[in-house]
Amino acid sequence: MAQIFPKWSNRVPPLVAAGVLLLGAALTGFFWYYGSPMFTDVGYRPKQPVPYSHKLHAGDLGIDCRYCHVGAEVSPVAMVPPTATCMNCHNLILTQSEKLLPVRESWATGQPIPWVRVHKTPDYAYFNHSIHLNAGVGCESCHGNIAEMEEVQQMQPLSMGWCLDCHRNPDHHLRPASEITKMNWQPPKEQLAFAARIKEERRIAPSEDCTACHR
Amino acid sequence: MDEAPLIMGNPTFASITQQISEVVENKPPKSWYGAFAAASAGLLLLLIAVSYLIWEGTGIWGITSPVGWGLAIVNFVFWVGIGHAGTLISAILFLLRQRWRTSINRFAEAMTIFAVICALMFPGIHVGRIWVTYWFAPVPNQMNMWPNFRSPLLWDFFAVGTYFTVSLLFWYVGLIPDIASLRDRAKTRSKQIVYGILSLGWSGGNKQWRHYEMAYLILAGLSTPLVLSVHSIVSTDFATSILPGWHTTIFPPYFVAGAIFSGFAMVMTLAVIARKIYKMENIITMYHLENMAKIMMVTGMMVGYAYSCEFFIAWYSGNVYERFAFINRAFGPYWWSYFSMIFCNVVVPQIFWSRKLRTSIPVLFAASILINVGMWFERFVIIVTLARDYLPSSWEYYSPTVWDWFTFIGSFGLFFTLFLLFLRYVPMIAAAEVKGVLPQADPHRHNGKH
Amino acid sequence: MSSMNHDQGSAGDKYWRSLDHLADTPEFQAIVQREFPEHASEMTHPITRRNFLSLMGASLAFAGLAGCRRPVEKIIPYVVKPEEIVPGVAQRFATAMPFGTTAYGLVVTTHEGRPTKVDGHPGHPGSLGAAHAFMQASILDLYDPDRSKTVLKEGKESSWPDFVSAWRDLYAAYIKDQGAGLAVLSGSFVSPTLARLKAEFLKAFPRARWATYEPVSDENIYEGLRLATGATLQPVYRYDRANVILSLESDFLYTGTDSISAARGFSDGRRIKTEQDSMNRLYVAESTFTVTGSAADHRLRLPGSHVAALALAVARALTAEGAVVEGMSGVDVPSGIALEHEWIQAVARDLVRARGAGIIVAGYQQPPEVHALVYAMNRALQNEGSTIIYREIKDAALPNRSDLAALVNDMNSANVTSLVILGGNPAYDAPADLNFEAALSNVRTAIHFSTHADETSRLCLWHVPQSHFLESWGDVRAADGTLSVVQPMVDPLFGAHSSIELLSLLTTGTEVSGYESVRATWSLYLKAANFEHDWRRVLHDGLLADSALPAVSPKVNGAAIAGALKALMAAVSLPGLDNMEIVFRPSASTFDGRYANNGWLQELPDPITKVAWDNVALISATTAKELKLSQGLRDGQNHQPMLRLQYQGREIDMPIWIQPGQADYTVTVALGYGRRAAGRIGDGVGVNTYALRTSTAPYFDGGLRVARLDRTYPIASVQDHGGLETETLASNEIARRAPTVLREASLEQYRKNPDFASNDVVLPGFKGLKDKDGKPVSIYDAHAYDKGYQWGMSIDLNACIGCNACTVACQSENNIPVVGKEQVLMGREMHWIRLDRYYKGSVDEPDVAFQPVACQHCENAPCEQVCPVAATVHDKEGLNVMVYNRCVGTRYCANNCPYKVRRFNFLEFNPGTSGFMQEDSPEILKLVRNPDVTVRMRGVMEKCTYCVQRISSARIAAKKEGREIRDGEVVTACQQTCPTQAIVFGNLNDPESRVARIKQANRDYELLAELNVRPRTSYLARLRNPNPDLEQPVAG
Repeated sequence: MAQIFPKWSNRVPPLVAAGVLLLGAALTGFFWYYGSPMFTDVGYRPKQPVPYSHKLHAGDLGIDCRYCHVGAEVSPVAMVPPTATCMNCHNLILTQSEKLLPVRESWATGQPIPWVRVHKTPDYAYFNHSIHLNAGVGCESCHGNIAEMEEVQQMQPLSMGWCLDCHRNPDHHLRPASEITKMNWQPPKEQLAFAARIKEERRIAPSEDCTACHR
Repeated sequence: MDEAPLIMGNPTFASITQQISEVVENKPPKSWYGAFAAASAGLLLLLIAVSYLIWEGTGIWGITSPVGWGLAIVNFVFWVGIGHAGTLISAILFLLRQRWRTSINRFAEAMTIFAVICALMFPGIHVGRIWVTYWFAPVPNQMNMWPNFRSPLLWDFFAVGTYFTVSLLFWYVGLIPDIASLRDRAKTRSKQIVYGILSLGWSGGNKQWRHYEMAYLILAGLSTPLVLSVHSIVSTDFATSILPGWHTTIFPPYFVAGAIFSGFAMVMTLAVIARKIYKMENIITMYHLENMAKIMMVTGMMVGYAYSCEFFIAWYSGNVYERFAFINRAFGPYWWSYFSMIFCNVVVPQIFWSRKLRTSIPVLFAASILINVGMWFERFVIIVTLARDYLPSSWEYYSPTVWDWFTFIGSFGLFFTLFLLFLRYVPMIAAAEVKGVLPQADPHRHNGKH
Repeated sequence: MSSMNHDQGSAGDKYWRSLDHLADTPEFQAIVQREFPEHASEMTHPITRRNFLSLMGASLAFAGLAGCRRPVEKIIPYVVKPEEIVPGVAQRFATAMPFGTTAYGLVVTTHEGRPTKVDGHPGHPGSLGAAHAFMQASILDLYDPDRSKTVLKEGKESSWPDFVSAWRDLYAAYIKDQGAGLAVLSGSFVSPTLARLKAEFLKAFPRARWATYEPVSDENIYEGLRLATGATLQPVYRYDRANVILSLESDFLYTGTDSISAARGFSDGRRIKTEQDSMNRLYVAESTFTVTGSAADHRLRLPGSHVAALALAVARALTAEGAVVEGMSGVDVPSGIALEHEWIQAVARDLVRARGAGIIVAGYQQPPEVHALVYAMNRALQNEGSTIIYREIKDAALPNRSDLAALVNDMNSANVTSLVILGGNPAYDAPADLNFEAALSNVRTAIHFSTHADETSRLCLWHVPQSHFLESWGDVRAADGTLSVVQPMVDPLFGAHSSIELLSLLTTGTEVSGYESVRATWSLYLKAANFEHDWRRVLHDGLLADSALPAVSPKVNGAAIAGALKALMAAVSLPGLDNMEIVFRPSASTFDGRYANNGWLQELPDPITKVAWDNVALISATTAKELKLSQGLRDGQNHQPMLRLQYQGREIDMPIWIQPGQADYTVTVALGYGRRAAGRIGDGVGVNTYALRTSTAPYFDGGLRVARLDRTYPIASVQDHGGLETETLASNEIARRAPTVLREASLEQYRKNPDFASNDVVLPGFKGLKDKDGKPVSIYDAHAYDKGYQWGMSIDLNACIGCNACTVACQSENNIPVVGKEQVLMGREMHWIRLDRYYKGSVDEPDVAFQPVACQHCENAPCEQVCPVAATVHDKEGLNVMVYNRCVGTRYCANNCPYKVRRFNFLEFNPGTSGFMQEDSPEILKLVRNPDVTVRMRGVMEKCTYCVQRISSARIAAKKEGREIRDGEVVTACQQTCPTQAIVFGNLNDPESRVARIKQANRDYELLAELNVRPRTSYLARLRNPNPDLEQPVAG
């Protein structure tokens, strides 16, 4: 009987089997990374209606985060500042600047400035700024070194797993109250001892319950 | 059993090959086209029903609170049950050296696979958010979440999945020699290549046969416990709950018995039709049908025993809720489903006591249909037990909507579409094995005959 | 927010090419456009105090743009942030809700100036911190998308300035001839400012006519007291001081005026800790089962028209017992009326024994004569001054049907050239015999002032939108006279005006802001010296301290009472099949029809019948038998037989409902349904029973004829789907289970056996293996519940009156959707807390008891074990957590819940949440949602969370202050609103907490304890206090 297939085709079935297995593993890995905020959200840097530079204000001028984001310590939301906050200075400084036109427009017309949201947790995840700051978690832990950013971009995935990592072991993210808004902060040598102490004092026991964030 | 010949007439190996292969090689009979048209119409209905379901939500069904599961789960259990006979016939009867199985095991296995496909569909579509069903699978994810391994639904997911995989392999391995003979008989190049690839280079050499037998034996050994495990695990969906009428240890054995019962009924239905259309009376003989009838009678009585046992336990336990659940089954708003079940599953099989009846094709056919109806009602009865549980304030009445029925009918469309394709393109009977039970396959057949 | 368009094109060009591209597409622009069209107005003046701002709306709308990696979402900050608003932090303001001739103090929660929740004001005498269903639901009315948005002239869009100038012309004309031909028809009110303006109006237009009409009011009570004393008085009841209460068809616990303080006082009189304590006793005589009737220790059913005779018989018995009642001389109980003399004797003896500590109260539906007699009885019993205080009525416009009749006469005789209808909807709810619609056609200029363009607006030349009380300035007096300022929580969403603003325009022809008018009035109450300071204090406190009006001690005019009674007694007739009695009563859902367009209330089941989305004709089982009618069960749904009601030449067709405990030969129908122009919710719901109602007999009357029709009509009932009463198998089982589910005993039984409610064995297996703390063993390792907070709840069935307030409060707090009649028919209502109603005893004289059931937060939760994706789990504080965004929707948990408290989103009950193409809900309806609670999408399970959002915020607050959560700091929505304080919630791990102590009581039991699910919610068994003299068997 005539041969239909060449001899090497005997090796095909086992190869196919192996290939299928590898592909499955590869796909899982692919979606695990490329499907997660680690890839989809980190690095998000939208263009803002006003070319506001955090590097200049927070970095070079060293304005404290809480000067504008007044909600951070008292409210779930840190709060994007009202136009009035900008005008506190800019009715004196750079009053004619081209870049600040939208701000002056807003001030004149009373129409708010539509900033573009960078850091977003889903509607069903209830993140609360105030409790994190009060526990001694620095802005930097989640937002990265803002003082270095011309335009703000997302540095951390803000995914559930990422939150849990810190809730399970917050020690490296706890700071003295004075250091909260400090950028590029290096944990001291005795950080672990400090963390243990402050957790005791402030009753810091990050919850791993679903109810911590989901309601 | 030696006396009764398994194959009628006096076929040769060649004639068997010829008879079975030509079904695939020649054009199918007109009736096939008719049947296929009907089946694919059903499949279309299924597609419509499921699309609308996903678009609009499970609310298009009759499900409500407290009856959170409706026809979808009834059908799921029904199809899983049917999916039993195949592997049972192939694996267990094979291990028990029941040689009469050879004529029916092939399409019993096919039936199993297609039934399990239908079954798997239902848990998939009945969830509220079908787009996140992948959370059932334990894959790494950014939420650091795993499925809940305490949940019977998860056990289902694995049990039925495994069963499907093994059954598929088992069926395919069994197919290889026959596909090879199709390849060798193939007229066209394309057929040669297709069958060639499918037969994985089978040449029928002695060594290959030895390996083949071993592989087949191993797979048979693997599938045997699965036959028993699958439906036991499906039954835990109910048995591990705390609901009166569900929370009972009798479920696993009684589900398995019921599954075999309905499975054989379905094989019977299909066999009767197939042997007629394809003139296989000589291979699928009355002897085979009769054996199946006997098994149906036995399993039917097991199921009947389970029904009475449930009642006894409900009474004997003194559990007021359990008692009411069963009284309510028989005399509550769903009494009709309960008594249809009793009639079809307990009364009907009794006719097989009579040799005359269990050897009459029409009777067998009718009975097999009735039994499947009865087994569907068994699952219905179990599900609607939900309607009245602990607090009377939440009692309700469940009535399926047209979309429930469309999905149910559609699942038959899916099943028969697949089955007809199988009849058309795959040898419906294990020629190689049938040859094995021919007299001339027995080297000692002359001994003892002078 | 159209302001956002200009920079869309530039939205990101670095990483976001795809989106940038997308940003120019028309659909994107469309989505931007439809951002809160309604609130464009607020966005324009962002500096005003409570202007609207929402971050949520944006994210919802843009969610539609999936497909790219991430939708762009805007943050719209303030331009100038109002001092007192911190975004993300809720604020609470005090105000008051005017209702009929009383008011309920409120505390309103607002988020970024957006009112989201209404609760009772703890310091206010009318609400005492609680809120009934109508108060809770009023927040939804604020955001009703069907509210009228513009002034209408002849039905066509006009504007406020147009109306103002139009009125100025009329004003000029009328001021000349002193307002001849000018008439005002207003609803009743008790408001200093409105009263002042009314007086000024009548001064400006002396010849103008002013009529006040309310379809349901206390008019008869005022009439009766005037008859008895010659003075116009407001009775103020102190139920907390009463030991014996006799209600003559008064539903004082629910639909009566000032029901909250009544319910609180009543339940305080029954809240007993141990078997040694004593409790009050309630007798109720009524034709229709009411919430009050279900709380009775002895209930007597009789036709409403016989209540007068009963009252007279009681009065005679009292006199016989030594409490001499004036005003009966020469009046005899009509013969031929069967009265339960034993019952009457017992009641009289009880009342006399409790002299000075009893209350006899008659319902507003009873004629004035009865109220006059009741006044005399209370006086004879020396209850006046101790349990009942009478005070003069100030600053009020009291309803008066005869005034309306006179007005209609004038209209018919074309003596009215201009009619201003200040609120109300007379074209719909005026007595049928007056034929208001026809009369209105004779009026040249009819001006209708109302929140909706309704039935009346359509017949008027002008329709002027009225603002919601949460949008407008005003003032009001509570039942005891306490003054409150009604302050707005938000600018009028649709730029509507308040009745104060309209009335001052009418009076002066010039526009005066409501704020100015109210402050002007209050210069009377606040010293000019430090007005501002006191004013701010009033706004802050929500009331003016010590402004309650003093009690007066009127004289009784016996002769007048006797004379009136004679006439009344002569009229009493015997109902029968050919002469049935029709009883009108306000609906528990729509009241007089004003709440017809409120989805929460329409879906709220009637407390007794459990029917939602319809009104039914209630008849007794006996009457039904004689009419050969029965509950129409088909496929688990009620397809009720229809009945034609013929009364005084008018007729309507209604579905029947067989109501246990209904008086024979009476047919009770609820008002407030069958609206034609209520809005998309209320139109065509139920039957308009005003069509039968006349000005002569507004509440009940004989002479009704009924004819059965061979049609049926589907009725949605949330309990007993399929009228289980008709199925013996089921009804027997219910009768057997009810006593173990809802445990109840009489006070004597309780004293004999203090542990009657203990978790006694229902399953033999329950006495099986026990673990260390004596609980049955579980195959899973129990969670450790000995550390931290362990939340639990106790519900006192002896206090619960089944008023449904908790259900609505929960709906408001937890963003629970309305599903509509079709879904309720299928049993898919979504309420997280339901009130199970159980009948006990005979179908004619049953006892009714209620049991609130929400998630019991089992420690061995059956739902958790079966969820394949761990979407429902336990947290460390013992909460049974439902994580919506993890839920796949297998519904396995709901199947496995023995209490059936889990609710499934079978369809997209919150439109627009699944991201599918389904139509989105009106933006404005999103504003009512609580931003602290996830809005659930289609296909997920939900249930009671013990208000976990409140626990979280309390925990965060405590942590920030470095302390533990205090007992009573976490209050669940149902607990907060409960008029009788039946619900207590707290930390079980703190032995000093209230809930922990209450659970020590011997009446404490767990529902279905035999299942060993270990519920965190437990119940205090119900008690009744029957009179030993009456051997009426009490279920227990």
